[in-house]
Amino acid sequence: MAHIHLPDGVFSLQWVIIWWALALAVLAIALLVARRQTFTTQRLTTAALLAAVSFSISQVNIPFAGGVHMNLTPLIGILAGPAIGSLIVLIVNILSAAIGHGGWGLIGANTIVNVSEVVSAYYLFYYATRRFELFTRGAVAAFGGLLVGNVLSVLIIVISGIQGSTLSGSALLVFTLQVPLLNLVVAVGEAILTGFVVEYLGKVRRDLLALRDLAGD
Amino acid sequence: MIDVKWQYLILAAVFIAAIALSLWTATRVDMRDIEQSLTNVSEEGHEGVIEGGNVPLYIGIVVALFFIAIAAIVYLSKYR
Repeated sequence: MAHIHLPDGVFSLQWVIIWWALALAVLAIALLVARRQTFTTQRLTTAALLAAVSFSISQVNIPFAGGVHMNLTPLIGILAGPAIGSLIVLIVNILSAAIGHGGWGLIGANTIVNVSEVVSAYYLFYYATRRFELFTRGAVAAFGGLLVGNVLSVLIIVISGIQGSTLSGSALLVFTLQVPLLNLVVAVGEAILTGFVVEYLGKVRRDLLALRDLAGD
Repeated sequence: MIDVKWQYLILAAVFIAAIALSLWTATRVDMRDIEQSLTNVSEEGHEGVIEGGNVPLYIGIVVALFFIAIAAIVYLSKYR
């Protein structure tokens, strides 16, 4: 859900390069971690389907407050794990930029934002909420992950600054903080959806939720 | 483990508060205002999610998902 929808040219070239470099560093770590993991056909197929579903659902406009959308990154974190999940969100961001949903230069920043959602949802689900019931775990992981992503997207915008804008620093922070507040509605919807998906998977395919044991993340 | 009833009650309270905060914000500003203020993008050139009515792309997404699903099912049934 957290996604910087700004076109190319809004961030200066310097910041575009910095966010891309950081994103590539994060992805390099993800690849190194992924190399140590065991890959089953089922896990790879799940990753491919998660990429397709995430891309599709992120293109569907929810007509609230001028247009918001889901992207199911917390579910990616829960079902694919941080390492593979990071690669999935990169693919989703490239496909999104290809159809004009966020600029090409912002793929780096958007990947960092989405990776933060994937990672925080994973750790909230598999570590912080283990004593709770499955629906609660899924919902808390999704809501928490999306909050982290939204805050990070605001910080990225404030740190980078907007070329040609009179807003900067604390004024820009106060202005852009409205984005996560508007996104709270979608975060709640996505949390409930994730909760139901996780609860259902817990009944029919418990093995899909045993990533911590399988992957060794 | 916290009782399930309390888990749901706390979740409901947090979600209701979040929705209320979001709706209150939506009465003051919307995403288009924010994006246009930051980028000077015209209303027609709104960058972001697909606006309602982009039927060909929706059909494309559904068709693509259909073939991906078939491929996944065949792949899973063969190698699982």
